Amino acid sequence: MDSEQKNPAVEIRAVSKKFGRGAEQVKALDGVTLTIGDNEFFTLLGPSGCGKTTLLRMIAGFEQPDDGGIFLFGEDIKALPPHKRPVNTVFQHYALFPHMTVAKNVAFSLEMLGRAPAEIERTIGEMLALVKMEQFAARKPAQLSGGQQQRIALARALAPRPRVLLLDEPLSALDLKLRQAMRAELKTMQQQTGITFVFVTHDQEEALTMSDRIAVMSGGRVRQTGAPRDIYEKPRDSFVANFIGESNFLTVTVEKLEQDTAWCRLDGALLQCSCAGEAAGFGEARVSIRPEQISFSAGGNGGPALSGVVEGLTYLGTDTQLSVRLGDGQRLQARVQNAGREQPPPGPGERIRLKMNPGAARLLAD
Amino acid sequence: MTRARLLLLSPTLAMIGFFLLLPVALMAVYSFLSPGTYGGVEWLLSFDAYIQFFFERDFLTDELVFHTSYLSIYFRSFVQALAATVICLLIGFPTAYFIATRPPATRSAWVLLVTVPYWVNLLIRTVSMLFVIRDEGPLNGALTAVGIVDAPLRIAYTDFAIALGLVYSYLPFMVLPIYAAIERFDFSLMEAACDLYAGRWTILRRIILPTVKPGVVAGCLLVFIPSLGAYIAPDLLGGGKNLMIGNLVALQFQGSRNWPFGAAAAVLLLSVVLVALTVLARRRALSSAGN
Amino acid sequence: MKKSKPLSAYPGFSQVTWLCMALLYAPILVVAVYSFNAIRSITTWGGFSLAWYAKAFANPHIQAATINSLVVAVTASAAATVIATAAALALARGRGFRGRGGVFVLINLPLMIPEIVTAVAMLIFFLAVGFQLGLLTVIIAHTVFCVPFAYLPIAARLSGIETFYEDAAQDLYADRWRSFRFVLLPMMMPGIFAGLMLAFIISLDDFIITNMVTGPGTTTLPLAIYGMVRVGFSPEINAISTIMLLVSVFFVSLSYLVGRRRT
Ligand SMILES: Nc1ncnc2c1ncn2[C@@H]1O[C@H](COP(=O)(O)OP(=O)(O)O)[C@@H](O)[C@H]1O
Ligand SMILES: [Mg+2]
Repeated sequence: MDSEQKNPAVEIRAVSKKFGRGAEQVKALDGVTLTIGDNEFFTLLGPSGCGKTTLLRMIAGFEQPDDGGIFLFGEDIKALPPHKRPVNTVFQHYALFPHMTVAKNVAFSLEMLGRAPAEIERTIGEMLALVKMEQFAARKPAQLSGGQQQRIALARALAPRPRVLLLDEPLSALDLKLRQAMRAELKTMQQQTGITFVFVTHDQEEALTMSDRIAVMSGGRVRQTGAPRDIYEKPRDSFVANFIGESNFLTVTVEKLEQDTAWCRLDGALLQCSCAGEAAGFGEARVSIRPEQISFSAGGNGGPALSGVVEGLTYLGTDTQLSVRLGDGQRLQARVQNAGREQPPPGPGERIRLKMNPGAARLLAD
Repeated sequence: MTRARLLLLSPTLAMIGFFLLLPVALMAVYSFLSPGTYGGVEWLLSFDAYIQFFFERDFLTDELVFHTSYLSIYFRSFVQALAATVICLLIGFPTAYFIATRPPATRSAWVLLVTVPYWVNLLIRTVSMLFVIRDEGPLNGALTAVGIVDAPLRIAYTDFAIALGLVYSYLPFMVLPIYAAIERFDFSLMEAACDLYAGRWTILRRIILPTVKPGVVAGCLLVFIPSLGAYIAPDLLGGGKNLMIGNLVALQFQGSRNWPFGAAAAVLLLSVVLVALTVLARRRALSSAGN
Repeated sequence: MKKSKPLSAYPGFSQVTWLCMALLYAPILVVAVYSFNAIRSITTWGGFSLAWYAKAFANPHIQAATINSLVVAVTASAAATVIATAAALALARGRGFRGRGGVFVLINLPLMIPEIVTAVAMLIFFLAVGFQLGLLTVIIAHTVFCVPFAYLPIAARLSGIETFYEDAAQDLYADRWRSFRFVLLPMMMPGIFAGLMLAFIISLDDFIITNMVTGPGTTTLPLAIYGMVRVGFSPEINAISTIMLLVSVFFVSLSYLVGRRRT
């Protein structure tokens, strides 16, 4: 964290961007501020159309912000054209030059930079070795599979040793198996090269497994920035909680606020919730809680503890999901692992006692 | 417009603007001038070129007398172009339909077969036609040899020959747009109609024709427009006797040497063509907006 | 039992199609066949011979016309292709701009104006500004009407090339010129080649406009053929016509094949 403070690789300050005119105007980016540290694997996560590509293209220099500034290692790069920015991009559709061989594709940037032929030769070898594609040097892109093209796109972008690598949904065109294998490889590659990766995806699983930090975007705004664990366990608002993983949303009354803990009443029971410092005041509010954070035991009869009636059961393989109705009419989903359970899960109509892990419920900002 | 774009467009603007648009404008100006004695023009404003279409100046009385010799050339051109269009439609529609209902693999071969003649030199194609149909040509040779006719049939240098030549010249223009329209036709509509007790020809009339009408209209205009301004077919196949507008225009710059009159004739031809093209463009825009 | 026809088949349509093909191809095939007839006769076959071709090639008038035709076609098609390529880059790349429709109409103007009108308008213009009618005026005229033919395949090709290739080139440190030179231009090449071929045959084939704007002594092949036909048919004409037919078919096929090629 210390080095990040000193030396942010990319800094985006209050950047806005509109497309189109009049009624058709779209606010692609709306006051985005981000700091991406050196050597970080940073992910922009959000649904399609939320402005991820626009932001990435802005860092690469293909779009100009209407407002705000973009800094690369402290230097304002707003005026630099794309070919003068020390960043490279892995394009969503790879954009391999179809009329050039794999080797020529990888060599392209080095030739543009006027590197010595011997160095170019050596770098081609190194890069193809890095992506394990040495034997394909003489092929044309059309003769490669999607996964292989992906690797060449990566090798080509890494060849000039950029300080920041931008990747726009690089795995989205691959099938599931390949996608999972590539995740690990990308992560390793990032750690080996020490290059800052800015990775764009709409796939939450991809984001959670690969990233050092994630920025969740929606509607041209950054909703939350943080480590995968923070994003998952401490979503700031209902969009983030909903977009990543599954969540129960419950209406509660806030009774007591401490630094990052809020005491909320839900159906008579008092719940220990986590909250951000900036969280709202007292009174009615919403909390989110993951189904797997709710455990239960048989029985339960009002009292201070939370209880509810089982309405339905869904068998999910590793887990069983219970649909429970609380005394005040709110519904929630609880999930238990099937392995290692002695007694069978409660049946429909049964009353059960619910227990939420302390701090697992998150008080939302909206 | 950015500067780069302006730079890229400047050769086009210069070439077509300077050597086509400007000349056409100059031609329009010429149509309002007086003819020079040996071709060319005198820079005197005059509407004679247009008046000449309708009136003749009487030698003795110097009065304007209505005459139809030029109007009849325009009328003949319309009739010829119309005849060519109708014949092209009668041949072109079944052909386009037949091609569009071939299996996809052979379809593009058929399309190529229709397209290739378009790219073959129009003059040479017309010369070939003349070669075949003239009195001493292979067609008459064959007819006489087989004994169908005693004396050679007079085909060349008739109005029929001109129509034949126009059909031969512009038939691909009829087939291709109709083909494109029929190819997009959803043939399951046909089964639906048949299911509702419609016969083949009823289906053609009530279901297919209305759907492919834009293609038919486009094809008709694409044949009619160049036919109207045709020069080679009437010149060669009509033997220079049966004039059409194109020949009338050309003559004023070659033989009779009345430039303003030739320019006026060209302006009239151009106006008709531009109106027809605008209709075509309107329909295109309309049908693409409908989709 | 009668085989049941598919519903979509109409009786007579296939016969009309064959009639259409016969109409389109019979005259040129007849001419081609007669060009190989050893004797002048229309009714009898005197054996296969290339004599008329030899005679045509030996004709100095035709030799001169061929050279003129080639000079004009090569120069005009090359110039038109360059112009059309530049125009396609301006029109097909980047966002729409004011006047786009106007420029589009301008490019296609030579196709919209009847040839005879173009011919006399150019004649008037060349004489008015004092151009000497001859090879130069023919080349200028051909360049103008070849532009839309060259433009068509080039623009089609260009609009099929995604913009991300140029982005990728610039991302990899190529400036705008080099991203054009090393990425976009090679990718456009099949379209440019196809356009060049089409422009070439369109120029080679023109009669009406050339006839008006040429000067004394400058004859092209179509003009020479026309002159000969005016005098009377000779098998020599069949021979030259057949060669020109083959040249046209060859270049159109080439243009078609190259233009369709995927990179
Ligand atoms: N060049 C453009 N012109 C007009 N609208 C655009 C353009 N690029 C992006 N947009 C719009 O901006 C919004 C964000 O797009 P984008 O950044 O591509 O989203 P994402 O990559 O997250 O799917 C979308 O609504 C999109 O339609
Ligand atoms: Mg995107």
